[in-house]
Amino acid sequence: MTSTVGAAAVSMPSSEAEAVAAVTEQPYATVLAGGTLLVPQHTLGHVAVERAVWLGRAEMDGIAQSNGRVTVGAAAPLAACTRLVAPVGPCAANIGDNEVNAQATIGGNLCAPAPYGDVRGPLLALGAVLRWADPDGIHTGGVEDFVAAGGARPGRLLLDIAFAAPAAGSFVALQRHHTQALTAMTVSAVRGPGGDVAIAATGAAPDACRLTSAEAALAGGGSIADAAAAATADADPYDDALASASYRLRVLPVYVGRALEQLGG
Amino acid sequence: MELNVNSVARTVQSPPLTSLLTVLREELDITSPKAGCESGGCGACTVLVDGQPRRSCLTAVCTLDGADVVTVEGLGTPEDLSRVQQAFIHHYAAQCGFCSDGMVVAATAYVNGGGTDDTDAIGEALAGHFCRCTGYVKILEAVAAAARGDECDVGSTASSANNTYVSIAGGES
Ligand SMILES: Cc1cc2nc3c(=O)[nH]c(=O)nc-3n(C[C@H](O)[C@H](O)[C@H](O)COP(=O)(O)OP(=O)(O)OC[C@H]3O[C@@H](n4cnc5c(N)ncnc54)[C@H](O)[C@@H]3O)c2cc1C
Ligand code: FES
Ligand code: FES
Repeated sequence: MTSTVGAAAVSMPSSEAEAVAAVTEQPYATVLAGGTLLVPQHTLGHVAVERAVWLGRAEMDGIAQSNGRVTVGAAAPLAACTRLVAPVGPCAANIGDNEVNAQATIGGNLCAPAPYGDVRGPLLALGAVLRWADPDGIHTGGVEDFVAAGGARPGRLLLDIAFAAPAAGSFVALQRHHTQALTAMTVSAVRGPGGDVAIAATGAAPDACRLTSAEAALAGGGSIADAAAAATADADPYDDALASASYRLRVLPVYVGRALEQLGG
Repeated sequence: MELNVNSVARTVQSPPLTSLLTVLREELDITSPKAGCESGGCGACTVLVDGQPRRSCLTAVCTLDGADVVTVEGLGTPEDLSRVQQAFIHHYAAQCGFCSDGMVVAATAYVNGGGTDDTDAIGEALAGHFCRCTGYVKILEAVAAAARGDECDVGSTASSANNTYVSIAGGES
């Protein structure tokens, strides 16, 4: 079904395959998921949309778990993702108030750059594998590959996100729950099945990043305090309306410490 | 496309990506949802969509074909106000009134969903709603009264004996 009244036509595919075809055909379409960013941007004239594809009927909102692997459809609402394991579940729960949380999707959040996109942190720590379609075909890669490929843009559709259920996970956020719309910093930690620890942050650098120096300190037998101190080497702090660069640099080790304490031994 | 707004079938002509807020206010002349921030941050535009509170400024109208939309105009009439509306009047829960339509709609969803008079739970349910006049204590009292099913006389105003100075976001203020 296509709604064609007025300027931008919006198609409403009823399967993933139809959605891929609708997004990648010329002129390339902009994806409309929950609309919590796209609709206000469109209303305020910050984006021009020639053609849009709404995912609400494309059956891309499933969450499945088998053989220790979790697969989440890009159109799964954040509210449904709150029941996923840490760090991604608590991260989803931390985003927006109840109404925004119910409407926004995990794919929309992943596609939204800083100061949004909190789920990029947990998904980096989990080593999640994304599947996306564009006019060149279907691609798989990590969050960093999706970002390096240019992230969301007309003609590109994020399909799903998969990760191995971790042995343990933890999540901390620099935000008083719900009191401020956006999150200044998050730290996610994951212990893999082999005991190795991966740590990622949002708000420590202009985009979500792994804290590899902190990971190396732990792997080398260092304490939580050692790993926390090492994390500043991975930061590329910046000023914005949420926090100053110097504040981010001071808070990062504290949050890395808390995330590792929460992860437990 | 068709929308059922306050139990009346309406045909919408606006382009599909138009926000529900713009459709309600500018096409259908229903002005209780307020255009506060138009970007999801204040809650003043909240309406019920199929019984659930939704930010009308964040919702593309094309995603709602056939949906039931309820605004404050559909909750009660001046002669027969809803329980939440009566409680807001009795507890003096509006100052300038700009946030009130969104607050009343969200509180209605909370009460209809079986919400209790627990202050923290009400604060959580209304967390996305900002009152620029900062009249949160009265709002919490009104929603708690509606949740309890208190008799609220709209001809008189309650005293604030039960003031618990807890902000709507759940922290101390
Ligand atoms: C009040 C409020 C508070 C918020 N607080 C936070 C917060 O604390 N942390 C945070 O991270 N974010 C926050 N956000 C932002 C929120 O996370 C995003 O609005 C939301 O996750 C975007 O998801 P959506 O489904 O609504 O995306 P949409 O608005 O539909 O889309 C957003 C962008 O992503 C693209 N897109 C969406 N899905 C896909 C897909 N599957 N494939 C390709 N492109 C796609 C769209 O084309 C568009 O460019 C907040 C927003 C509001 C309004
Ligand atoms: S106008 Fe919609 S949330 Fe502010
Ligand atoms: S009464 Fe004025 S904004 Fe709430």
